[in-house]
Amino acid sequence: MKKIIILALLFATIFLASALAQDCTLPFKNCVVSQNFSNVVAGSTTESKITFTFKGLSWSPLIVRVNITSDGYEFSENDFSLSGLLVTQSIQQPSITYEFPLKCELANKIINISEYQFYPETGKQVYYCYNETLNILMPLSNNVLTLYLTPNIALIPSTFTITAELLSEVGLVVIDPNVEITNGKGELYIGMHDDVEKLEFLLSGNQNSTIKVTVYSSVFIQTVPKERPFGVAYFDFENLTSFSGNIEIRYYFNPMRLISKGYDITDLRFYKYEDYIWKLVPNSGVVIFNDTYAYAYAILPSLSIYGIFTSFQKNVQTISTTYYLPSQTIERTVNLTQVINQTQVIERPIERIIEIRPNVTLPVCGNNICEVGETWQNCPADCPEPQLPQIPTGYAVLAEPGVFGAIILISLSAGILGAIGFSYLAKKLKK
Amino acid sequence: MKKTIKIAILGIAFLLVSIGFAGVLNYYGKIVGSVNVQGPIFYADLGANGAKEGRLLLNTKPTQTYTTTLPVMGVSFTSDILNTTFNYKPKCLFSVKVNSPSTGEIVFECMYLDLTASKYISICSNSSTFTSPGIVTGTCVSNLNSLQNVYQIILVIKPGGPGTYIETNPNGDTYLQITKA
Repeated sequence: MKKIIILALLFATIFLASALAQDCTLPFKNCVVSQNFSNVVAGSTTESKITFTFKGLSWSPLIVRVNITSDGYEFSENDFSLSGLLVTQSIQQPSITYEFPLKCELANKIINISEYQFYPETGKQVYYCYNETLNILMPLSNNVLTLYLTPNIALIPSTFTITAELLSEVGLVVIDPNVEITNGKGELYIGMHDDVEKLEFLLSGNQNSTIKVTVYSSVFIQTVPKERPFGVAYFDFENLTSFSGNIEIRYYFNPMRLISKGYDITDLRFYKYEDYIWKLVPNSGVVIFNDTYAYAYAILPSLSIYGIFTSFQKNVQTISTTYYLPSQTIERTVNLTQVINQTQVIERPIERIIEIRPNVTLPVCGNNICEVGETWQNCPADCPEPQLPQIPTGYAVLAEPGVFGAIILISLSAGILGAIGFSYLAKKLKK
Repeated sequence: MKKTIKIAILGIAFLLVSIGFAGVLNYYGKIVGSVNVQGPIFYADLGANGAKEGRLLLNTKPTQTYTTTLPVMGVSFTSDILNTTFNYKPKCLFSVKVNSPSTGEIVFECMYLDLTASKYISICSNSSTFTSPGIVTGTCVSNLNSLQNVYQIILVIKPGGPGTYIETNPNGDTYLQITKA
């Protein structure tokens, strides 16, 4: 028995050591620094070249996180300027080559670009390098990434350690858990911006499902919808188990938080990121309970990357909106008489909140609008039949921008192989 | 049977270790390097033979070789507009290519133009003697703890005696470097 334990520990150590020694994990392979940064005088540029193979089967994002560290050094905003260039070349057809310049920005600038203010950080400065096209890694490609680093002329002469990390996310991840939908309902508490901030998932027919949710604090997608240019929240939803029909996703928030930024809370809408632009989700709206509790909702036939956007508060507006829900009819009237000068709120923004009326007004089937309560099953004239979401399998997972998914899959495989190895060795030892 | 259970437990434990390790990573590849950043070098460029003023080129060597005789007031070299602040106590490193005479002395001074205060401020100065023509070097440490609102950097090279010829060339033999004291 002791021998088995020793062998198991040996296997585990070898596995962990080899895993730690890897510079790359799938779908990236063969990461090699072909040229390292050299010593440089302030004001000049030094460059580093990193080559790697991308084994993904679809165009994918590449984000380079660059950490610059120096013990005890207090960084200033303009200490370094950083940029990059990615040359991606098809393995199968080397004549197909694309070049993408990378823009590098300080992390805290990306996280909150609208309220950006530099706070000096001792010992570390983090940049994110990206191209606004996002999906810049060609499927099955050889890649050369060049990073150009220029220290400011007035930089205090020192030695800096530069770490470049290759990521494949569309934004800065806050959390990325799996959400269990049980009996048609699932919840994910976020609490990033305010206490009520959460997501709710609703499926018809008390279905069960599991959804992988990635919540981003910001995304590297620089385009915004013209009519609603202010991004409030960003998500990547991926169903790990299939479900039928539409899914309703609700994003709960504190309206006062957005009002204080000058955003129009009645104009919140879900947008899907598709073909490099944000496309408005037709069945999307907002429900306001009171001045501290509201949600934006969307009824979606499939899952993907979504953002919630809104517009700036109008000079003066009075809005009366009626919302219909399947089980009951709730008229939610929001009177907004507010903000004449956009920087000066002259009245309390929300005057009246909710009325629940017993009279039921049903959605009209045949008006070409897929209203709440209508589905492709009970009203095919208004609602298109949804495509069943794809269940990711095997290598397709690796090609998706989910780092954890890829690594866990590899680790699981290694673990299973290890377990088989143990039982084989145990049998041998028994003999 | 008992052994099989133990083996299964070991396997599961190993699996958990693998998953635990996997959870630590959130990137696909990681590359580490280091950079030693030195202070900026301003290469002197006379621009013409016999010139009494020249330019300081930031981290760029001149393309031509020029010579001049140092007048008593010296030759000054001025950088392009920088508009920055050096938040450290500076030290100036000098180098100058002297063609003649065979022995003598060179006086250096590095200065900057503070546009806000509208005045030239001396960073520090020093002198170096030489016993044969060639590259003469020297350093000086400033009493200032930082250089605020630096609009331009100026290098002044003065002779210790008459008939001192200096050269600026593509090797970058004549330069001023500002570094941390």
